[in-house]
Amino acid sequence: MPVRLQAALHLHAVLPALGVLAPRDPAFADILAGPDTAVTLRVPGLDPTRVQRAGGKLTVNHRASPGGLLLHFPSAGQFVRTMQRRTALALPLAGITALPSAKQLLERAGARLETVLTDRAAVRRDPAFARLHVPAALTVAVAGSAVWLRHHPHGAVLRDRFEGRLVHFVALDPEFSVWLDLAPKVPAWGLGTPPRAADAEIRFADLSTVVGELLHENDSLASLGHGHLRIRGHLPLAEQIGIVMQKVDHILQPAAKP
Amino acid sequence: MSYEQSQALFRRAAAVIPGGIYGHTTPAATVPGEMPYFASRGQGCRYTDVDGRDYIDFMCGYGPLVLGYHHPEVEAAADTARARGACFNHPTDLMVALAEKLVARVDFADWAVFGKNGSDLTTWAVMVAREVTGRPKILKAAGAYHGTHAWCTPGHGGLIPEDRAHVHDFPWNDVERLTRLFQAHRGQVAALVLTPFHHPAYADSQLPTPEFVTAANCLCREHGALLVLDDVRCGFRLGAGGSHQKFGYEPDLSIYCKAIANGHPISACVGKKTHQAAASRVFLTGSYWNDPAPMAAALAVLDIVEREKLAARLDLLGQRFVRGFIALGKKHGCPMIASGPAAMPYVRVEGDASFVRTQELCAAAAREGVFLHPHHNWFLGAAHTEADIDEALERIDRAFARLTG
Ligand SMILES: Cc1ncc(COP(=O)(O)O)c(C=O)c1O
Repeated sequence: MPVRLQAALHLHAVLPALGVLAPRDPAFADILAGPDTAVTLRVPGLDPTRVQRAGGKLTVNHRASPGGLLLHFPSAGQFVRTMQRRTALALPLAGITALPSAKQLLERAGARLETVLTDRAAVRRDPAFARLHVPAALTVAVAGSAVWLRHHPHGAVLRDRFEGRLVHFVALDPEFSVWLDLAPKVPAWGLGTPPRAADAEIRFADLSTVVGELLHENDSLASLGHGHLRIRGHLPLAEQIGIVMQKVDHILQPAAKP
Repeated sequence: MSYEQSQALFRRAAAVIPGGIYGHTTPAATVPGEMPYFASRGQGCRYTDVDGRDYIDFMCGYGPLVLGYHHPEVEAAADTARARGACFNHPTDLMVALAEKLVARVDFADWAVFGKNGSDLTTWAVMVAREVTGRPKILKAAGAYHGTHAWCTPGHGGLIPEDRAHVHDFPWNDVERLTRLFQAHRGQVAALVLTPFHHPAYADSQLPTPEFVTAANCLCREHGALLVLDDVRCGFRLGAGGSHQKFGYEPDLSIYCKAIANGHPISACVGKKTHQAAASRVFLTGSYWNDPAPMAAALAVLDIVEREKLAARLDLLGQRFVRGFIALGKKHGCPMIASGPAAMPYVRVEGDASFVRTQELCAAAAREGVFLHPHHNWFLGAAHTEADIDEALERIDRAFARLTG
């Protein structure tokens, strides 16, 4: 597994899910209440990711802005090891006492995100928890697919095959939608209404279907027949992106809790 | 309008069958909820679904029903054989007669073997090519369908990289890429596997260019590889002696399936004397493969194909249908694109890269009682009459009106 891809997945797919989860998750109330602060994570060769808390809101973007804590990892490998060795996003900030609030922000927000993404038993058991899991996990899956298509050696073949296509994922419960656009040179993704009509719209009619799909526990063909899962448009495109999502999942959660 | 019984039966199905309905007939591949899921009975070029709705059928069971449901001559032949018994300890005389008929019919064929499905024999043909050449590599067109086995399935589940380690794809009609593949794997290529024309799902069909056919023939000869023609879908629809003649292929092995027994389960592979010894070394059998009734049906179908000049008839019917379809598209301001031979055309809405409009049109056609597929080539059958085609076009006219109205 190319380590650069793993690093990019953490930077550009997992961290952005913080911005999706924070406004939805009551557990973030405390975290958001802290003082304004920002952390920028830099890995050589990859766009930086900046996590910022300002005015009780959490945002994640990939612009390098001045201010806040700058975490510069010497290599993608070092960054990935940091992400994998520790629980959540507990970063090696020991010694940096000047900005404890930034450290705390990343650690606490990261820990909560990890729980929401990986506690599969809770996702199955608790609908309220599942409604947090869905937007976070769909974001990681779609943003992760964009990253995979850009950085994986096989990504170019799929990008060529589905050049210019757009896929839109729509969950009705919880209401959430996210799109993936293969038209730009660097595949793009975003929340809400896509910039143009989708070539494939994947619609999950209910919570159990979207959860089942995200946990890879759903009989998709059966759901399609029932209409609980609808794919309007280019089925092979939807299918291929589904496979990419699964690959992303395997990279990020090699030992997901059962 | 709903498909209540289809949906109800599907709910039962999904409780006890993975996917509810799997494979090419899965609702997911058509327009789920907007088209029938289960059939009830058929006659001629029409069938009835479990909700009691009738359809003029342009899929012919995805190919096999080339003469229509319940063709009397074919059914009589199969019934007579069935009355003698099924699946004996031995083959019957019908197997020999059928092999003789194919050898007489197909110009390059010196022998024939039989299976049940196309996949049985596309895979076996690949093994024969490897046995003949002692080489591992198989070249095939990207997006071509050759069956469900690991070397070629379009599915994704259950595969390991080794399954495809010796299978290499090239874009259809791309002589340069094909040549480069032969060169890159010089001395390693066992077979080039081709369908007579390219009929991928979710894409327009493409006829072979004369240059491509010539290159396929020459490269196989030059490199000592076998040309395996997967004539499973086209065989006997485009010509009474197999489809290779229509396009000029010089195959070493050809596989037939869909049109040879009008829905009775049998497939066939024919080959040349020079490969007979190798063919007999590649193990081939199945529990039901000696069953005489499908062989009797195949003998009857092959007679009818020749006697009734089936290929020319399907071509005429197909032209009438496609011409009418294109005209309807114009009339309704919804331009259509047709591809592939008229006997097995694929028609879709122009400028519809997502297939959404084509899906809407096929769903509307189903509601009007015409069964078309939004992503797969269609099939004309000898049971269609000009009147059936015209009636279907009238119904499709109404479907277009629903679409645009
Ligand atoms: C060209 C071609 N090859 C092989 C096959 C596989 O045949 P079967 O489904 O009978 O195994 C098909 C089936 O559609 C086909 O169209």
